Amino acid sequence: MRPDSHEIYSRRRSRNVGLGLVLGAFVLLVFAVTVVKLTEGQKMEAFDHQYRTSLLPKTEEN
Amino acid sequence: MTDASWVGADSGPREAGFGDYLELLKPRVMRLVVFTAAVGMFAASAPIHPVIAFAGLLCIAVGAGASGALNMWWDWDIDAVMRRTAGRPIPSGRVERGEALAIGLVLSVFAVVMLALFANMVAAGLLAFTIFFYAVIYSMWLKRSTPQNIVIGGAAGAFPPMIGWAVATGGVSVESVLMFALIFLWTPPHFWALALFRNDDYTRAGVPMLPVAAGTRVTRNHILTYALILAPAAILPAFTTIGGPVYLAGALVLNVMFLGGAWGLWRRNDAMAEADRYRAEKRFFGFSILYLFLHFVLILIETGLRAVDLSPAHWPMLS
Repeated sequence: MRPDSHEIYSRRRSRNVGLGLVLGAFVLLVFAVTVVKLTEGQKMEAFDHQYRTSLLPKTEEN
Repeated sequence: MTDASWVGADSGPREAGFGDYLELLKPRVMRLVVFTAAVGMFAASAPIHPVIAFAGLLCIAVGAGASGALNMWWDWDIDAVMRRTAGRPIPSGRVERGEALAIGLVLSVFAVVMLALFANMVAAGLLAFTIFFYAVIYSMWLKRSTPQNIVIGGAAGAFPPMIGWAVATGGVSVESVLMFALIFLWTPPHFWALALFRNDDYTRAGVPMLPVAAGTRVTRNHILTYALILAPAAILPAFTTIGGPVYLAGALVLNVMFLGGAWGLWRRNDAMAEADRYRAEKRFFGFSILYLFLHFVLILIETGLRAVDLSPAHWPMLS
């Protein structure tokens, strides 16, 4: 029996391939969300998603 | 021991495959979570980019899966003695408990943080609370200690549409609270119907489900009572921004049928149920799944009608 023919290797392979695909998909997702957020030009601070007041249109006082 | 001799041996721990880990995340529960969260998100009718919507739903699904893994880690002893759950990854020896705990914790934190970054803090906060509620309040505390376990624990399953709504709007409103109430009040009669014909399973596991702790007569009374409370709560969304005449008509039919089923169960006793092998109880349980699914389909239909301006101009609203 070849050592690499044992079913333990196929399970290990399925785990590695699965995890690889999940990580790859996650990278693509973060990239897509980043592109969307940047192209939508949200006037927000990225770290806490609050409106950045300096970017908002000025309103006249009084 | 050489590598060749080790791989040739049949004894020893079985190494998990990718599918075994996926099973830890309770994919069937995840499907319902994703569906209700998506309806909550789209019903909000707030402008949301499809990529953000997809990312938000993914986070909610992963969060739900993580709480499922934590539940399996905690409940492995109960799962092992119940027929319905004996084949789960931990009791069947495919995944170790420690792995389930690690996966549950890592994915929980990951899903909440990513939802905060992808959508907003309100949605992320609700997701964090849902995971905490399901894993700690329900699984660790209520499930083994009170027959009211699923009454309170049902809140965990009721949060997803509220989270979806929060992803789209950044807040909570009467509509999202009503969607929460619909699932919350639906959960007890749904699970008590299951417990009626799976009574021996819960007895063996020592889980104090209502039929085990208080008897089947009390359970049948409770099912009818909850169906009566559920009906107005399920019809009320018709008079909010997520409802309309189509929802009202559909909800009326569904609730009459649900009440009819609950009434039928109330009139039966153990002898009648055993005589036909719990036919009515099983039918009511099956219908309850359809009942919830169709309510959310009706909300989705109303959302579609609003999008193409087919909603009536004058429709009574609660606020």
